[in-house]
Amino acid sequence: MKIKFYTALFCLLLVSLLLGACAAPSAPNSTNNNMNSSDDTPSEPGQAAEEPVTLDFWIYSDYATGPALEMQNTFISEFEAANPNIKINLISKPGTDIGAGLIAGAVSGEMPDVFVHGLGDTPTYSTLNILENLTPMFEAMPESYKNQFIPEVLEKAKSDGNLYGLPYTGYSTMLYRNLKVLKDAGIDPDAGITDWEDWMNQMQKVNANGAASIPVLTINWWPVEGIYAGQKDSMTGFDEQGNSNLDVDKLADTISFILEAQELGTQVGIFDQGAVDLFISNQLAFFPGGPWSDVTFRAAVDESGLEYDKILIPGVSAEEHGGVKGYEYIGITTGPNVDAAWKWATYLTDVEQQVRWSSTLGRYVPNQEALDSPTVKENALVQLTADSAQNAVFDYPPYFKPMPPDWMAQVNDILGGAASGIYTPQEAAQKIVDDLTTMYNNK
Amino acid sequence: MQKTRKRLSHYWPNYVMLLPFFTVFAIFFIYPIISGFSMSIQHWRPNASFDFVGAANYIKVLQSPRFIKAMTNLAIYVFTTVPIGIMVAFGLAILVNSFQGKWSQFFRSAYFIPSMIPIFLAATVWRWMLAPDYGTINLLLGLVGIPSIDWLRNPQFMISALVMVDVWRSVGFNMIILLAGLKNIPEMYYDAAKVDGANTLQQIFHITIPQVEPILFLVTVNGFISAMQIFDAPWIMSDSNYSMGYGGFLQGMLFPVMEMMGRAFGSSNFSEASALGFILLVIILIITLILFALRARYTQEM
Repeated sequence: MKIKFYTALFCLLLVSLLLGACAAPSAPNSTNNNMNSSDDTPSEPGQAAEEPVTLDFWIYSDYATGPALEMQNTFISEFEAANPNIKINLISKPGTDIGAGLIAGAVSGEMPDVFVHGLGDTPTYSTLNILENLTPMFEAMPESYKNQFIPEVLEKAKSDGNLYGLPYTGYSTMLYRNLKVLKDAGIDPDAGITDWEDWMNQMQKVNANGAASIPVLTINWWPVEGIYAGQKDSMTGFDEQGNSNLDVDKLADTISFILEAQELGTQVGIFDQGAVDLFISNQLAFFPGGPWSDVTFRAAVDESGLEYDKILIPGVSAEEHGGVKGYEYIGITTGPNVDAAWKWATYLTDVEQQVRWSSTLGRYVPNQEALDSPTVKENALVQLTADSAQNAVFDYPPYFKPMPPDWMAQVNDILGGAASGIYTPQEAAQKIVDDLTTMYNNK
Repeated sequence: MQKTRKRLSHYWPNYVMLLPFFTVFAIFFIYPIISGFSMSIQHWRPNASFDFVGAANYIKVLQSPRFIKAMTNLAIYVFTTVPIGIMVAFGLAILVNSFQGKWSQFFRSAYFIPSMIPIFLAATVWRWMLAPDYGTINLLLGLVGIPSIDWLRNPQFMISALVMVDVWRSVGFNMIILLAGLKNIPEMYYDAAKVDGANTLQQIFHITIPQVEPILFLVTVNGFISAMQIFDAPWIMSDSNYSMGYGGFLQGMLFPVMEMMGRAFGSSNFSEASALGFILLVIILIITLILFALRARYTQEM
């Protein structure tokens, strides 16, 4: 009995050790492993790999469904026809799965060659050291290619002067208005919203008429940023000394405004499905959201007769407007297929493809040349997004620099504390600025 | 040696038949444990060499405010949901056991259905039901004059909301198990008790509970272990995600497994995440051993 037990135990341990020896991840074969490397020799642009290559391309699932998928397949067909030795394997995933998959892939050594990622995810990837330094290849590209991107967006994809992504798509928030709710409250939608004071007056009228003005915004930093941006020279992020760019007084004014507005609103949070349902069912007047919400509301026009429009988020004065913006990039992982991946990435982000992507799907792109093209200018949603992005603040800086895992939760807690009376708006604003600065410098 | 060789030659078919199980067990159980422990004692980075740090990750986790908050929430949650869940399941089992024929089958199935619903679906539905102003629960509370409660953002009520979901979902499964135990109690015990003048409550306490004690213990241990690993429901109900924060307002729905996942996939800190996992493992083991010890003592006294 004892012998059987020890034999079985021995077999178990032996198998485990063998697996442990066999399962060590293979190190990526790349000359650009170090994110801070600055002495890389530039590779020849557009030099296709000699051997046949299949590139695994991870993309957000909403970029690969319906008309977006058709467009992606068109691009793939055209690219593969021009580059017969390169095949593109398109794999769509929800955003969080791309992040989790990259992390798991970094552990196991099974990563995609090319992927779409948001700026806010870059601290994770920089920690894992999985992003290829694109600077040498980018510098070798023609000036016409390099100059097509919006400069500040390109700069955000850099860390220590090295480029780690090509700008691909983006968003900037806007204010959706339920026109029926406004009209029922005696508000003329055509008059627009001049400033915060005018907006508050309209919210009071809506509330007096029995509807809700706005969902709860203080559940998260993101919508608060969008309102904060409606003040002159508002910025997020950190300066070179490591101090938060947020202005305490402006932030306090923002929080005060939002809390006053929320008294006239619903207790449903902005990210709850209930907020969308309230808007569609003519019980909510204002919904600050991204361009992606337009799809839902457009469908509701046919299904339930929703009357709505979208405008820039009002600012503290008529000259200002708010909004929060973010961008998605195409990143290339360190590995043996960097050259082929670079060809695909530059093809996707080039102006011709960006014009087609933007004008056909109504999606904003951080490519100024594409935005200036007549076909893209015709799309009202893209134009509004571009206008919003002019003054909007970046969503989740710092990019590339790792912050504590709970930094967003801490800011959200302070906002919640202001909403529940634990902090005054001034105290909350000061605490947010102090805590962000501390977290940025301590991590 | 000869005896061993003889035994091996006689039993080798048995060992060969056991090999698939041991292989799978080694791959999916032993290897992850060894790998996780290895990560927990080093400063892990992809493609980097082993950087031994001893117990540093464990100390860092144990000292972190978020871990302390998560464990506090867990203690409140576990010692609320397990007793309530078992009491409700036991009460329903007794009730269903008293029914006959079709009614017994109907209620058995009706109470069991929630446990068949995937937890992500159950949590999503409950999120809607618990929504302020327009959620079903708040509408019902409004009918009796109670103002709307922000169940998912008021720290005073967040764990209560979770307990509601867990009890609703787990009570059916536990009821079925307890019902099976109740069916095995000889009727003559109750007959004898009735003759002695025992009322229903006395029968429950002096006959039913002692007779189903082994099953009650099984359900209790299972409930504790399951409750200590809670993740899905609070993650969905607090609208958590790795990039925008998790755990809800003032970390009211932060639990150890969520914190472990957040450290791993939110900040790529697999070392601390692994350490947290092992700390939780030890805690679960300790609690399980305490429960077994208490039961052994109770059985001895009887």
